[in-house]
Amino acid sequence: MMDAKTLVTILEAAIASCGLVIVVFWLWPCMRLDIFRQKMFALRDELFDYAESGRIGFNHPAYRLLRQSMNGFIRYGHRLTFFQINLMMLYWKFGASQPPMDWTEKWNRAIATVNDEQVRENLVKFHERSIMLVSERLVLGSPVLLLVLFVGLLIGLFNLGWKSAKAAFNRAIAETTSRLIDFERLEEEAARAA
Amino acid sequence: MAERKKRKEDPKKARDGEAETKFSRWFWGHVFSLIRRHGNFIAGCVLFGYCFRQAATALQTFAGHRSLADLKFAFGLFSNVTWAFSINITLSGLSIGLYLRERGNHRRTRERLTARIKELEIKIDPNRTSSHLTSEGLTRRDDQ
Repeated sequence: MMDAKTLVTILEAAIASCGLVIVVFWLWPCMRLDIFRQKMFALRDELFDYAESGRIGFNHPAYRLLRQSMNGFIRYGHRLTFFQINLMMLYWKFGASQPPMDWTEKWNRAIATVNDEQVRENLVKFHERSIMLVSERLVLGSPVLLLVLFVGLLIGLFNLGWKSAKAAFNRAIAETTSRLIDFERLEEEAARAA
Repeated sequence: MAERKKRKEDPKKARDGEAETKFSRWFWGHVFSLIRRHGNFIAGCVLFGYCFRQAATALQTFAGHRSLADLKFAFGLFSNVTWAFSINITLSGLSIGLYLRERGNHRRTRERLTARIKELEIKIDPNRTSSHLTSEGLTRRDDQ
């Protein structure tokens, strides 16, 4: 026979679970998306300031391509989850033909036309930082990728030692995403969407 | 080459096969697109429903022994609520309330500043491109 105490415990658990569902499926994803977009906007603003300083023209293809890709990531940031990307891959496999890939090619060509080596290096760094933001968003939002990241992080820490935990973390994120996600395809989609 | 030969041999069959492939691509495309768009919402609703069902079952089981009309029953239930749970719910509610309030303020600030930033940036870069979010910095309905 169930007594009042057991019933209250069950009700408490049910209410707490409902609260958890609201947090996990609504508030948490909203907050992560806001943070991602905020960081990408900040990076885009930094790139704008860099161009404004005169080191690269606003009409240079490398600047325009980089901004285009950032705009696409901001616009479709809500679709940057492991679950969504897998479904997108399935959609391309079964539902629609794969769109052509030319962003990376254009980017490589554009970056080669930058004469100043320092500027070229800085633009590549901007690109890497935007990819890092996307990787973080993908990995930290998926339990599957988090598990892979954890293993990668352990291996990274063994290799690099405790001296550089941040470097090991960044390397683990990059390794995790590069093995499981086609970034060229993602950038292509982002650039097309912008 | 083989496919071309087959098409030459029986063009009607080949056309039917093509239509079938097109339909299956269209069908699966829509299935995956729907799951991608509404998967999160459906999973949330299912879990929410499950919790509600469990609570309802427990209540039904208990109601067989005690009458819901009994005033003591309601007070009895409240007296059994643990203080830890009460504090947890109060703090969680407050945190969520504060978060939602802050989020609203953030959106209003974004709305206020976006047009201004855009105007200033266009003066510097007339070909400035946009991320196509709403003025509050949210995803547009068409992009969901």
